[in-house]
Amino acid sequence: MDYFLNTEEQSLQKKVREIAEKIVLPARDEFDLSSEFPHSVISRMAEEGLLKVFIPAEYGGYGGRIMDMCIACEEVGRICGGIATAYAVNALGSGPIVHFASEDQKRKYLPRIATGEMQCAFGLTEAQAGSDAANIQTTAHRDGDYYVLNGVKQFISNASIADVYVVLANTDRTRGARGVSAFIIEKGTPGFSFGKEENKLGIRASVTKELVFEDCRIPGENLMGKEGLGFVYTMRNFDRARPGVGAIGLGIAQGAYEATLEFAGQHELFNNQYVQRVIADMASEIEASRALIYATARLIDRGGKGFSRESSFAKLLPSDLAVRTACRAIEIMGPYGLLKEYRVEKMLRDAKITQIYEGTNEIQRTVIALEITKGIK
Amino acid sequence: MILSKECILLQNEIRKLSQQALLEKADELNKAGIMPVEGLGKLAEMGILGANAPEEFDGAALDVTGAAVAIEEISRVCASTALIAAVHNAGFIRPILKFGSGEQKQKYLSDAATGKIIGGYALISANEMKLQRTGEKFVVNGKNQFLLNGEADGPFMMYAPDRGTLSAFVIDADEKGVHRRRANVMGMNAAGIGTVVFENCSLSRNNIVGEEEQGRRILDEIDALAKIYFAAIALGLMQAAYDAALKYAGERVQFNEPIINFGMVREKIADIATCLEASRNLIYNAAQIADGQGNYRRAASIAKYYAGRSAVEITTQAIQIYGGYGYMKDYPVERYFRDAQVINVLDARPDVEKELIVKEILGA
Repeated sequence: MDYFLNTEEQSLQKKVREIAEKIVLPARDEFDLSSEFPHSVISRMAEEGLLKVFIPAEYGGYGGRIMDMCIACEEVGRICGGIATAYAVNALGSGPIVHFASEDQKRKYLPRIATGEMQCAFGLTEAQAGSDAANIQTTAHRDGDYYVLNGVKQFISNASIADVYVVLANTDRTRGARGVSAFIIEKGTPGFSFGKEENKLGIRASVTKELVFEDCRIPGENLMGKEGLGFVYTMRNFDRARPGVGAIGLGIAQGAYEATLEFAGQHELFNNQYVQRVIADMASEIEASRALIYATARLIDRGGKGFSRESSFAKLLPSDLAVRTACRAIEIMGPYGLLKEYRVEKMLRDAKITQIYEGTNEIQRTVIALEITKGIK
Repeated sequence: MILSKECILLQNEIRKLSQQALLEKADELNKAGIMPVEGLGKLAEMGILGANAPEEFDGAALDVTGAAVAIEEISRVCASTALIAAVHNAGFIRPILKFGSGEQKQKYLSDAATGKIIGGYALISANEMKLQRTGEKFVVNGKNQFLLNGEADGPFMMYAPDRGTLSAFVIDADEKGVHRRRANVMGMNAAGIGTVVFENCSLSRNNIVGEEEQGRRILDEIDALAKIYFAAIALGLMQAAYDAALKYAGERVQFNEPIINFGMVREKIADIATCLEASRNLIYNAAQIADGQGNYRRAASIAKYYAGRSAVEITTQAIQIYGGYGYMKDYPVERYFRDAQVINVLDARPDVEKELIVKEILGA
């Protein structure tokens, strides 16, 4: 299908595909098995300029377009959902800095994130603040020119790997979501450490740990934007990031589809009507999701506000597709699909997280429905 | 579906046994990929390893419904253990009992029924071997990537392509030219699934089960039973996922309420309960037809197809109810999810199962 990508988009797609096949593909099994962070892969990706995709041109990036992010995330996700996550977390972590940080903060961090000198992560979730993301218990007390943070962030991707973190904490617990503020905190700050490492079903190349704050004193200038607007920034950051999750899901689906085709060809199944039906469904649904992601990305890149619903569409459908496609791939391949050597089982394990992270698909459905019905009496 | 009094007694006993002998180590053994040797010993004491074998071979002589109920209960705690028992009973004991020579029965059945040996089955859909006849000998080369119960290092059943059809063989644990290794499977990690490689493995007529070129008939005979037991494994997984998800939904508080109060969670619980009950009824129905000596092939295929697919769907939804926690190995649902994928394609893929259903419907 022709999506009329412009020349730059086409060459980005070609480049990321080459890097994914040359660098990610030979490494994916190793990191899935060892569950270690793919430092070597991410630094090669950075050398090739892939982290510039998330950063605006004036700070040393390619422009920070959502379309580019989606193209890159799909291509990496096609090869490995875990490494795609480790990579894409840099978009989630840098997004708030790009859009809401001060000029000084931008100049300090963004050029170094673009080169890969620094990696970044985003700390929102807590044990009691999952879907109820505003229920943040971590506190940031003002103490003269400083803030003192206390609390634990849970399930944070790239925790301990990233050099710089955007962290959400309560500056005024009486105000609920409006009492949440965002801070930029560097690794190595006294009082900031990393807790439990999670042992996950999939995306095992992506490290997931707790961020632990114990009387962590940070200068007032580490506040990002305004006090009390942290949750608003978070939601707006998610609105821009969700199509990237969709794109990882799309990439996983594409990978599972290609694996299915390869297997069906080798096992002479192309004339089996059941297999034909599945291949046709997979191909049609993948193109539908791709079209949705691209349309959403273009809408966001055109500027303006009010793309929250579309952004949820672009996460919901492709992530469900990723799980469905990987399941079907296993079914067609039968017992072979269960063996690690055939990789679709990994694709399914990786796919499952796309229905969960950055807002479960139930939350996406709720948001979409409320958005649609709020104007209707 | 109403179970007999004896069956309910058995169910209670196996439930208790599973809780006592399997639960504590299930998580650890699955993570480490080790077969539950102690647990299998306890199951052997209860007669579950010779569930359908007659008393003359030290079996428990249970009917199909009884064995299915037992397997379901074991699977609720550890699907891998249930898979071992199901394969051992339906894939190994059954063909030898029904088609084996007197000598083969003497050699294997009593030891199998008492759990001294755990019999295996090289999954027909993973056959990649060739058989050559040289004089009185059958020489096998190639491999099968799915030797169920392979790591138990016992004898196993194998169906090799022979003159355009299949011949059934029983292969001894120490047969020359047979090399086993562990298979890297996404789930059922305590079930000891292996890969077997045949290297000029020379077999004689004594290895043949039934007549030469009778493998297809034997498979047809054992398949329907295996399907009921595999469906019962799926059922146990669904029950476990349902129990876990329902409990979690009642305890997990978000937006100041237990999440069971939210419509999208309630809908999932209702969907899970519906699939669970429908599967249970299909399975018990097939088992009861089998116990009444009826033709239960269609019923067994329908039960297996539906239960396998449902297990995949239900365990996916169970993780979703747990949210991020469901993705972590500290919680049980990700194991159920992986195990469900395995059982969904054993012993036949859903599309093959559907084809079997249609064949039964059309009487072809």
